[in-house]
Amino acid sequence: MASLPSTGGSPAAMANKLHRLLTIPWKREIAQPGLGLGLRFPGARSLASSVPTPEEAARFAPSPTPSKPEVEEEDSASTKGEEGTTVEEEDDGVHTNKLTGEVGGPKGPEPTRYGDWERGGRCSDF
Amino acid sequence: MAISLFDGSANLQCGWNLHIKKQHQHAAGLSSLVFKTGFLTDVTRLCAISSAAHGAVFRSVRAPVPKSISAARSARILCLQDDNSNTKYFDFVVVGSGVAGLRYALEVSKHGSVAVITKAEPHESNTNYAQGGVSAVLCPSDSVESHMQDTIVAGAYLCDEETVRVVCTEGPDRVKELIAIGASFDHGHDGKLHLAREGGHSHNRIVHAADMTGREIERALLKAVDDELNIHLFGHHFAIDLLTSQGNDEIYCHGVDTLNTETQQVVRFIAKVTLLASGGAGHIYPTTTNPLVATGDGVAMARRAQAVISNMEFVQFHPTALADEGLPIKPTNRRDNAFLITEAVRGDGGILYNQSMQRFMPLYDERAELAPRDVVARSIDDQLKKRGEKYVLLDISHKPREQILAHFPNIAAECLRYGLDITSSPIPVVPAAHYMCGGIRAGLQGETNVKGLYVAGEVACTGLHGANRLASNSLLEALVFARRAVQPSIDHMTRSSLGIHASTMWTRPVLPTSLESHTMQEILFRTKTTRVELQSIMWEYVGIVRSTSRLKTAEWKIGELEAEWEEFLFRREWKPMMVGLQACEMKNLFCCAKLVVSSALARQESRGLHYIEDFPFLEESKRKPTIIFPTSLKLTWSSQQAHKLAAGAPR
Repeated sequence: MASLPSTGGSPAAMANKLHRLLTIPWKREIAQPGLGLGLRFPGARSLASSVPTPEEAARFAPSPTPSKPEVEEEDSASTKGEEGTTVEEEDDGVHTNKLTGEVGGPKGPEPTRYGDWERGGRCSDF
Repeated sequence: MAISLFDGSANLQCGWNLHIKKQHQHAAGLSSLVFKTGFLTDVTRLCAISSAAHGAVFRSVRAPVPKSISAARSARILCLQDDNSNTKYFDFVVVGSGVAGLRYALEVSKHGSVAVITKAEPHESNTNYAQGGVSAVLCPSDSVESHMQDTIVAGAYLCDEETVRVVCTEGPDRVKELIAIGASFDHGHDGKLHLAREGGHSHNRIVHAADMTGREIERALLKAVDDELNIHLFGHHFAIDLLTSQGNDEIYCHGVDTLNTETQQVVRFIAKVTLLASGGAGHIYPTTTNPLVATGDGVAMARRAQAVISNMEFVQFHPTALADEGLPIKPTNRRDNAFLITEAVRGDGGILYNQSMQRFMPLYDERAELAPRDVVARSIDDQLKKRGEKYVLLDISHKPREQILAHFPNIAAECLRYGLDITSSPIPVVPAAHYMCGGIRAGLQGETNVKGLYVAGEVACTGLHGANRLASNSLLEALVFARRAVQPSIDHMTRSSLGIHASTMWTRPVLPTSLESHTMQEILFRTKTTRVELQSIMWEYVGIVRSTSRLKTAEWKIGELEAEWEEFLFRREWKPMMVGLQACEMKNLFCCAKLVVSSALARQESRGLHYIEDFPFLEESKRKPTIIFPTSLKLTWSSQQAHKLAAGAPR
C-alpha cells in the first residue's frame, strides 16, 4: 500500500473512519446472521450492495484468461485500432468471436469483462 | 352521403364507421368539426367522412398517399383538431419517444389514435444512449429466480418483489417481441441470441446489438411507428403540464399542454389516456451521461399534477467520467453527455490519485482500485468534497504504451483531442450522474394515483430497481411496463368520453411575446446561470456521500436560488402563465432537485445508492420505499401548473 504524506487533519483517522464506514455494514451482516430480514434466497448475501461478498468481488476482478493472451499478442500488434486478438474468424465478411461463438458482435476483448460495458475504453452501460 | 376514403378499402370503411359512432357521441352538437389525419412527415390532410345518419358534416380533400402506407392498412379515425390546430384530440397521448413510449404507442395504436410527443428529435432519448443491452432470461441454464435474486441483491433488498417477479418473468417475451418488431440482436453461430454477462448478473443474459443496443431498439421502434398510421409523432413539442381535474376525491388526467418549439406555439393535446415516458433527470447534476433532453420533465409535471413520487434519493453515478476541467485544452462547449472511462482501466492496473498525487483508494478499501464501483464512486466523491477539488486522476501511464493504445483507443483519442496523452499523463475523472432509480410511483400496470395517467421507463418508480439498478434492467423495465400499461389504458379509454368543451376547461399558457427582446435575453442568460448554479449545489451538497447538514444546506440554497430566479423573472414582467423552453426546463430541474433532496433527508439509513454519513448503516426497519405525497403548502411558481381551471369550468 502506498503511504500518504500527512496533509494535516489526521488522514489516518479519516482513513480509519471511512474504512469503517464503508466496509463494516458487510461485516456486520456476516457476524449477525439472525437479523430477521426474512430473506428468502439461500446464501443470502450482504444488504450493502456496495460491499459485495468475495465471490462478487471476484466478478469485478479482471478475468485472467482473456487478458493474458491479449497482452502478449497486442504488445506486438499495431497500435492502431482497438481490434483485440481473441476473435478472429471472418465468415462472409461478418466476424465471429472464437471464444464465445458470437456472430457480428464487437471485436476485441469481451466488452463486459470488468462488469461494465466498454468499447475501446469508453463505458456505455453499467 | 357517401363515405369516401382515401384508399377505399372495405376494412377502412368499417373502421371509420365504428369510430365515427364513438366519436360522434362525444362530438354531438358540433357541426363544423373537422377530421384531419396527420402523418409522420407532418403533412396533414383532411380525410373524408360524412354520415347523414349522424347529422354531422365533414369536409374532405383528396391527397396523395405517402409511399409508406400500405393500402390494406385500416386507419381508424386518427385525430380531431379544431380549426386553428392549437388543440388536438387523441385517444392516447404519449410523452417521450424512447423505448417505453414507442413500445406502448405501437400496442395502443391498434385500439385508437395516438400522439407521441417528444421535445427534440424523436431518437433523442436516454434509450438511444443505452448501449449495453437488455437483460432477460433466455438461456436454459438461467432462471427467473436467478435474475430476480440478482436484481434484489443489487437493489439492496428494497425492490418490490412482485414487480421483480413480473419483470423477470415477462422479460423474455418482451425481448422476443422486439425481435419480431425488427430489432436485430447479435447471435451465435448456432443462430441463438448471444448473451453477454454484466456486473451483478450471475448468468449470461444480456441481449445486445454489438454495443449499440439502445440505438438499435430505438431504430426498430421508430421504423415500426413510422409504418403505423394511427401514430402521430410530434417532434419538437415540449410538454409543459398535464391537464387535470378533480372529482370524487380523485384526480383525473385529460391530456397535456405542449410548446411547439419550432413555431413557438402552445398546442393542447386532449386525450383520454396519457402515458408519461419522458425518461431521466441527469441534468440536475453538472456531469451526466444523459443527453440534454433529460431535465426531469415527466416527474416534475406529475408532481405538479399531484402524483405520488417515490425513491428519488437513489441516483446512480458512474465513478469515472472524463473531467473536462482537468484537460490541458478545455473543450469550447460544455460536454452534454459524459465520456465514461471504463472500469477496465482500473482492472488493467489504473491507479487513482487526488490532485496531490496521493493514492487514496487504499484508505477506503483494501481492494483499492479493484473495489466495487459504488465504493470507488464514494471514495472519489469523498476526496473531492474534503479537498474542495473538481476531479481526481486515473493513471494508466505506467503500463506499456502499445497496450494502453490497443485496449483503450477511444479514451486515448478523446484525450488527445484536448492535449492529453494518456500514455504519459493521468486522466482527470469525476463521477457522472447516470440513472434515476426513483420517479413517479407506479403500480404493476404502470398506473399512478392520477386516473388516466400511466408511466413507464426511467420516469417511473415501479419497485424494480429498489435502491440500485442492476445493469441492463432499465431497458427491460421500460419494455415490460410499456406493455403492461396497454390493457388498462384501453379499458380506461373505452370508459372515457372526450368532453366537447374539454379544451376550454383550463386557461392556456402563453408565450412571453409581450416582453422586450433584450429582457428576454437577460432572462435567458439568468436562467442559464441559474441552471449551472443548481447543478453545482446538487453536486456539492447532494452528491454520492451525503450528510444531513449538507442536505439541509442544499435545501436552503435551492430554495433561495429558486426564489431569486423567480423574482428575477417576475420583476421583468414575466407572468405566471408564461412558458418558454428554458424557463420550463428550469422549473422542472428545480422540482426534481428538491425531490431528490427531500427524499435523501427522509431516508435515515444508508442503502444502495443512498449513502449518508450520519446514518452509515442499513436499518431493517427502514427497508421501505420513500414516498412523497402531493402538498399544497408554500407552492413556488415552479411547483404550480402553467394553466388554471377556467372560471366556470366543471370541477
